[in-house]
Amino acid sequence: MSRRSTTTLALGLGLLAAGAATAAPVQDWTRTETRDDCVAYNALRSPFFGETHIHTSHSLDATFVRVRSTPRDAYEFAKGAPIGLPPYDEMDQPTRTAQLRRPLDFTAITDHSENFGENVICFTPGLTGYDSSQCEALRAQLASPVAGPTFPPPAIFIEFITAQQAADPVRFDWCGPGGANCLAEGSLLWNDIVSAAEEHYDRTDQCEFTTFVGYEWTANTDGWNLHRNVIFRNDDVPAMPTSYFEAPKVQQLWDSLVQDCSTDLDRCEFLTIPHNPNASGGLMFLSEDADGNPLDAAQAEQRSSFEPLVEMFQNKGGSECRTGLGTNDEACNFEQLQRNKLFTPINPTAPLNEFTQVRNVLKDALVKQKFVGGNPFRVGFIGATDGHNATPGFTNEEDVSAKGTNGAIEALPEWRITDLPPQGITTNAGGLAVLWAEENSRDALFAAMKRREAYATSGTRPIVRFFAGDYPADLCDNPNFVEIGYDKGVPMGGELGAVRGKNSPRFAVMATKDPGGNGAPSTPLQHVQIVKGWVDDLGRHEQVYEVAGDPDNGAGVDTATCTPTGTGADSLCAVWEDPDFDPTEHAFYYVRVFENPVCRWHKYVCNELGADCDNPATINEDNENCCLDFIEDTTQERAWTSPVWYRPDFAGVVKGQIQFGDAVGEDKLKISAEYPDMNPTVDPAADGITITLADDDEILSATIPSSAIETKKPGAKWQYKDKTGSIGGIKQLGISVSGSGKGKIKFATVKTDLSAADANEHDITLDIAIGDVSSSAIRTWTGDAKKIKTVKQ
Amino acid sequence: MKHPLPVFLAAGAVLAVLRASAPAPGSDDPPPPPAPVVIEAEHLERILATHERTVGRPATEAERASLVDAEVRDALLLRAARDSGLDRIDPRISWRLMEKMRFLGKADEDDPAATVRLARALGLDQHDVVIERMLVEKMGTVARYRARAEHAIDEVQLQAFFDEHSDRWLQPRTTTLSHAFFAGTDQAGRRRASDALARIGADDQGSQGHLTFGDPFVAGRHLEAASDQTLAKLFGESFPASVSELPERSWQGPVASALGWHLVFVESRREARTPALEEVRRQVVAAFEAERGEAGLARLIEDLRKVYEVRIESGHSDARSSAVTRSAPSVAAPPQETARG
Repeated sequence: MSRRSTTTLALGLGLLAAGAATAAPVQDWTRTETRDDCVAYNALRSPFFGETHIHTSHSLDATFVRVRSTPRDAYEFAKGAPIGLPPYDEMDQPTRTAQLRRPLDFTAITDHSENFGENVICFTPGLTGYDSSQCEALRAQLASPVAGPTFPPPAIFIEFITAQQAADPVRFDWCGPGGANCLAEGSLLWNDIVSAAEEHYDRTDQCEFTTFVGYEWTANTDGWNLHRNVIFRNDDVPAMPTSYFEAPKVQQLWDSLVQDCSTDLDRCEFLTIPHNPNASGGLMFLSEDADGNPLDAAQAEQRSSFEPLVEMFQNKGGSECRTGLGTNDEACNFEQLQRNKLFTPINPTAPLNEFTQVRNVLKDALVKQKFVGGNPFRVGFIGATDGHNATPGFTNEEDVSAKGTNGAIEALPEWRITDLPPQGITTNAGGLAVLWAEENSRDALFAAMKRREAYATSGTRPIVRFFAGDYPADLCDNPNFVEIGYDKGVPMGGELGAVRGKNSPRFAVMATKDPGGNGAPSTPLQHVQIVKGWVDDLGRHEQVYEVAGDPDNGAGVDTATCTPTGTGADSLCAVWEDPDFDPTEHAFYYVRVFENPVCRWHKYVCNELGADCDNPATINEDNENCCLDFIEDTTQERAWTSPVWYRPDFAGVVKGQIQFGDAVGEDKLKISAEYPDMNPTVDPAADGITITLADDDEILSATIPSSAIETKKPGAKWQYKDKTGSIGGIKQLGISVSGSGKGKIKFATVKTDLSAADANEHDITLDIAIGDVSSSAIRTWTGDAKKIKTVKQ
Repeated sequence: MKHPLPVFLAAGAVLAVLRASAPAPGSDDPPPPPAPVVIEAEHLERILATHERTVGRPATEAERASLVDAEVRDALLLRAARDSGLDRIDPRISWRLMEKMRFLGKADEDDPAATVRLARALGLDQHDVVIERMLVEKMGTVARYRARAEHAIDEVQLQAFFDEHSDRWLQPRTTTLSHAFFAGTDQAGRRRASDALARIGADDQGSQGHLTFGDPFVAGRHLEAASDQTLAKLFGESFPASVSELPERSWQGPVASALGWHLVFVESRREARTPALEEVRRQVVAAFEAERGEAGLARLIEDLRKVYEVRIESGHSDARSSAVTRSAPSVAAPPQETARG
């Protein structure tokens, strides 16, 4: 059983009878804003492509590279309009432009909240601080001739950044007492950010484009990247963003957000998305409170609720996994950061903490789940760009090769392939976030993020479904794949128990290639893998399984012309069972979908600069980085789905029977539910127990108070008896946990009215909650007017 | 400077108060005119210098005029905000004054109201650029709000506004369709699709029936009101055009997509169009209100130019203000307030 998991579980459970073609998941959100309903509503959910991490001139580091575009420009760009890029000429006109080949469905602009006020003050004569040495230096930097990247960065940049690295950060003196000047100016800028999001949000029933109000909380404690993007559900947002200066620890950030959202705001809701754990030194995911105390089960679950997603991939590298850090999975060596901090020189062999990699974090979280009873890091995956050109979703390899992602210091081809951090040849073209939602509105997309029905891509737009449940082995041949996927299991991001008893749940994955368009390539798919992580008494483990396609399909690239060679698949589908499934072990499963190889963005630049690494005569100062041995000329774009978590503390085998009597009130029920590894925090004698049994009607509901439950053996056996069945008709209930952790809950009723249960084959949901630990199990029952019982698992 | 003006919550009250202070008809003893709004020469020079550094050349005459105009607008709004008492009712200003008093060690945490009063008595709310910016912003917000609240929406004007800007609400073509998918872009996929079509017959009117043919499709088999952009996103860029040519309410195909072949049942189609006002009324009203707000702000500024004399300390006064017929400030006038000290 899980803590507070009922809501999550309910998502994947269809209301209609098994096999009905119209079964759809239950919508798990309600509208919190005034807007029209979307005409393109799809109960079976559609994929929406978007950006959750982009910077504009409201970020000081974007200003620093001469970006002048605002959030309004960025939203226009996301919708398909061209945007000007620096440098600007003497007539104030941008010298370059960029445009998306295909518009996005949604965008959250996430400027750094730390220097909102400073960025205004330094460019507004008359404001206190305008004449400060820092502002003078910043303006002087921008007035100097345009130049390429430097490392270390200019002194004034370091001065600003350094302020964000102290454990006890302090704003510049000119921000006034308590930073009041800068906070006040920052609040005005924040108002403008909120207004821009409002102006560009399509509230008509066409639902063409969604904006989110957000910002980036930019913690660089001791130089480690602990950044979070904060995204709000709607326009009911705090009066001020929280920055590292006010909240230098992430727990303080959450406290501040909770406080702000509950003060004078009634629709305010937030989530945070960490990015670049690869540069966090392993400090991004700590299961502790602000004082360093370990989280208990409830706190762990709350942390997962605040932070349901991680930015698995962005232009400063992937954070999935790395060979040598708990894995020998070769596919992990993809777009590594090639250093251990954002602002340190390139060093591919720099030592890394194992918890810089999300796969290891997920495995560690299972340990917490197993022994503490709560999972602090139940994170799904999205990708993003983290670009600083105000160009959301600008991920096409060829386009990035021509424009860069980081302002004027990437104006020339040779500047774009610098080996100087934090940009240059080691960065990639950035990723995208894909959300499965009923419609393109803030509430629907936010709910998708909260339930982690999301996946990351490395920038392309393949479409991927992933379900786990009790499916037929031939689901890929069934046109009702999606309906059954939801009806008999859970989608990506969900959790499930031993739905097939001792047998592995079935995992169903379907992927179609990016269809391309407007010059964006439609690269065929190569293969699909399922990555499993699990924990047992011996420790953390992982295994990668090939489930569809052919990793050795012979596809390649003619790198001289960047022309792909060979063939691949337009779509792939597989139903897979875990051959090593153990119902007692906590596990997660996620999907990786690989496209055929293409040229990596820098190869286009290198071809333009005439670099042929086999011919030394072609190599010069401008293009020598083309031959760095740790950068591959080709790349395999890919998608990572959010995991599905297997929970042995959820109900596994459920056996039940309802005997219908001849008269009303003459029915009888008995049920037993097995839990392969019972949640360690369960204590019915302290928390009581609530049981609900329902199909499309409520069949039985009973809450037995803790005082009525007798402890037969502390921590192992509890019992409730009432011959009269005064609570929900239950006459007897027993709960037991074995030494190895296996649990069982059994109960039976006196003769009572259970006529709400349909007398045919259909699904019935059993919800059991003990305190805030709950489990929901949907099982098929079959029978007739005399008796129905669970189908054997 | 302190005007003996009460606190007003609405910007319209500013003008009402200011007008009330104008000479009554036939009066022999007019009250002194309000102090002029002054843009200091030094301040202006700084703005021009910044502009020059930012863009790398001196401001043109047009740019200079625009920069001066922006300063005048802000200075007028600031003065109006103070004269109407807006500075007394903004919690952000009280918060800032508390911060300042804390810095000076004079804050009484148990009595913030008294602390803020003391701060004002000490003049800490004057010549504070942060407070000035807050007030300018607040005055603008209040003026916009007031303009919107002043009159109910005139339906004729709203319709005219909608007609003039109807391209803003142009709705793309949408198609509601069901489809059966046959994986693979090769001829085998096409043949499977053709065979299936032959089985169901083109005259089958059921699109929502439990389709028993075709492969599963990742994004589902029924799309409600899908725009061409959505169709291209899911099926590839040639698909919208292919679908646009299909007759409605019968199974058609095979239609090629980037992913394979499809039999398509177009249930309904709506061509790109401008909706009726009623369909997008909420959005049109919001845009109309926004425009009314901006117009209201512009009107307020024009009115303020008539109430206050504007002096630009570079040797010549603001052209529009100088056109206002009014006696020159007497030596007895209250001390002048400067903008952006």
